[in-house]
Amino acid sequence: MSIEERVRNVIAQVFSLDKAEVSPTASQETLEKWDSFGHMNLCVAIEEEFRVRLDDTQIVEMTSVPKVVQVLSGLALK
Amino acid sequence: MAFNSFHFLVYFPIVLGCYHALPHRFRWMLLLAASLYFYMAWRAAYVVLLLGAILVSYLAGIWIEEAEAPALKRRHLAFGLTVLLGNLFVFKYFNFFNDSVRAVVELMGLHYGLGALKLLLPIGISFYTFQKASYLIDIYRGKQKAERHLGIFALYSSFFPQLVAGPIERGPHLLPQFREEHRFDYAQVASGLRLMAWGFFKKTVVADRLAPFVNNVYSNPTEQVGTSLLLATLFFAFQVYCDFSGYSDIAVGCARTIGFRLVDNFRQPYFSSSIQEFWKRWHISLSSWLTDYVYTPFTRARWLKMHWYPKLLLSLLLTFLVSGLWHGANWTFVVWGALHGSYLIGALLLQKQRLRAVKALGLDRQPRLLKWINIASTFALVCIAYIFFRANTLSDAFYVLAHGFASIPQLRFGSISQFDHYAHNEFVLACLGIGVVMLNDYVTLNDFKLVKDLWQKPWVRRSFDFAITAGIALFGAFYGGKQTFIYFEF
Amino acid sequence: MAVILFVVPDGNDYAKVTIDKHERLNSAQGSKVVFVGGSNLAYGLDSPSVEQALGRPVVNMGMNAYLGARFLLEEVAGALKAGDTVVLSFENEMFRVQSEFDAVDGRNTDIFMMVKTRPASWRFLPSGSQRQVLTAAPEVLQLKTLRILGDLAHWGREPKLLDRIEMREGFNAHGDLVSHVGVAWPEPLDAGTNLAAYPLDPRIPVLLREFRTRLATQQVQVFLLPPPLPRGYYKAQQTAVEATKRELDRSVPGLRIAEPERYVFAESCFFDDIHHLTGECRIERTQLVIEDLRAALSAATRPPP
Repeated sequence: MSIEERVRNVIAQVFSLDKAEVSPTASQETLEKWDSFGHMNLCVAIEEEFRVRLDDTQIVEMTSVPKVVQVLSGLALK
Repeated sequence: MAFNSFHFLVYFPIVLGCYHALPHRFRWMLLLAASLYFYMAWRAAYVVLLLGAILVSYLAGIWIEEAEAPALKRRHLAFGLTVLLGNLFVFKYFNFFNDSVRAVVELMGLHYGLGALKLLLPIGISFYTFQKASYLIDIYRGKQKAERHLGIFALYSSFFPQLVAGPIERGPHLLPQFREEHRFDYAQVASGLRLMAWGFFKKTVVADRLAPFVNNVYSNPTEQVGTSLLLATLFFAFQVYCDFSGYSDIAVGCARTIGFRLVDNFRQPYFSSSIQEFWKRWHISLSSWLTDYVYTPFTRARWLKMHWYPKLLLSLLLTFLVSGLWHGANWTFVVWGALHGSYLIGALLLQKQRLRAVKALGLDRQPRLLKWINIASTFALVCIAYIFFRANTLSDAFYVLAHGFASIPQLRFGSISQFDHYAHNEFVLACLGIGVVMLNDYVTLNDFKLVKDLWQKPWVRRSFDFAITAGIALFGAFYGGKQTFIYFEF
Repeated sequence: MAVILFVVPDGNDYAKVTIDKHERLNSAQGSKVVFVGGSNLAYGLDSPSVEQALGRPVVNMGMNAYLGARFLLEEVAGALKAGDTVVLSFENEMFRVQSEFDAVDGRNTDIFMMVKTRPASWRFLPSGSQRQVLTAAPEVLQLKTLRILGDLAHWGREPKLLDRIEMREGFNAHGDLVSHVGVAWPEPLDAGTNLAAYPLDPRIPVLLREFRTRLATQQVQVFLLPPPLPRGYYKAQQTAVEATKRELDRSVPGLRIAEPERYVFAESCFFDDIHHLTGECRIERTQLVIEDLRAALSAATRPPP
């Protein structure tokens, strides 16, 4: 599975959505549940799923699926 | 000037009439004069502080924008914020701070010589300070251009509908509106007046009616029965909602009659399914202010070296402590803020457990039941926090909490009859009033098609207007509610 | 709203008795004796006995202390001729600054009702109060609406006992309330105000002194009698009652013609509250009134030594 697919799966799980509802361009603007609290839960889930430790700037940047993918691609993933 | 005063009843139609009669280029002058008059009607001397804050913000804003070096920009911003917040601190928080320090010093057996300041709290200072602070910060962040026209800026800073109790308006939202030409629109004026009437209804029929009872109970809680404490807290939840949202409605409606759009401050908050949602529906202009100018900067603070997750939680707590303190200079408000912060932190940390519990109880297959359970529990949490918000001292609050809860098993339908300082009529009217307000909120929230269609018909709107006006005249709690029929049965 | 205020009938017609009382006041022949005060006089006086004993027409104006001292005094001032006598009997609450009503100006809503019922009574108000009474209209409107809604909610319920007593027909031609004679009040006596909790109102003695002086120029005498009180209440409030007495004697010497203690009766003598005597005990009180009045009148006519 590509990073993008895994990210979309995590999003679907965290926000209790159908996988089909999370498009490749989903963002904080398009998904209602992706508010500031949702974002916190999502970041925790991303950290768990990809076994990484994110920092402040990365948290702030990850506002959409493409951006999340971009951040994760820059890290050494397991 | 208070909105629910005879003075305002005379003042407002005059302002409204003159506004629409004047050509656009003179309107800002009228509004500025009207706003300053409005503020001076409280206590003339304090307009000096307001004007001072206006001047400082005006200059600081221009300096920040014109400064090239970021360090210089930051210095001008610091200057502006220090003056504004310092002013707020002196008038609102000095005595609180001083008393707390004294308590600590005396606990250590030392003598503390600094006395309390005898200053009257200028009305609206918390609101206008925050509004101007947001203006300066927005200039610094490049989101707002400094307003060069002193008159327009002064008007933005003192605009009478929202000067005293909000909504807190951001520069980018409100400032440009003063330059737009507002054409007279009958439907808009009518809609604004209707919103004002609804606000007056909430305030005079519900909030002012509940106030004497709540005040009576909370002024000496230790002499009250447990069920009184419980009921008074419940009543307070509706009192503060009707008072505050009523006031906001009057502000928004009033602005609408002269063509201005203010932000919505309340969106049916007591139907929230979580504390998170509550804060998106309650005092929205303050929540967003705190999010943009306290929470977000704190979460991005580089100097605080911790993992982002606990940092966010800490930022949340801090933001709510600030919120608590903003509401009043007392430890009870701080505890209120801390409680709400803890509610949110708890909700975040216990998410998985909550989901497991919901599944175990089979509630995930009953979404409607689950929703109402969530609404009820959110309201309960909010009420518990209100105990601290309303109580005069921390010890009072703990007393109310303990005895209020303990009395739940004793609650009976006839419990209200023991309050003989609160006439039976008043209680019935208050409950009916609360019912009307909540029904309106429920209908607005769900946007029922039937209601929407009905509302299109003019006779429906006219009946509503008449009913609300009659309601205010016939049931507005203007007279203290002490009268009972003696000899003359009217 | 005007309809509710003026057209829809009031809950009771107690207020209408003022029309009858003023009729009697204005038509009485000879040197009349006029009793002025609150409902303690309405419930607690048998005027025909006084009339027979003194040989002079008696008018009992007592109905409602909430009208305030000024209104009660002005009501009669204009109808007095040389040789008339005014006997005041104010409830103790009227000497104090308390929360129920203003002792001098009374309660706005009550005065509004009086003026609505008898528009000619408008003249009894000083000009400042006239405007103020108008502002009572919205409050009366609210109270009336509440009462109407309450009545509708309890449609078909038996009228309360007090409603059957406090009405215009309950008064005799002299202005005494008689509908409570022979009626037993089913509930315990109302506790009454704790007088000690409220300070003396300094304006009342001044008002009384001015009234007496003014009436003296018309050759009208003014006397003050204490109101009837239950024994238990009197014992509890004795200090306050004595304080009122002392203040009165200091400001308006000679006005008071009897000791408060004289008008203390057993609890069983009272009807529904500490101001209202029963049908039987009002006779007893009237006897005392006659004795005290006789003494005061003859002392007044005796030439000074």
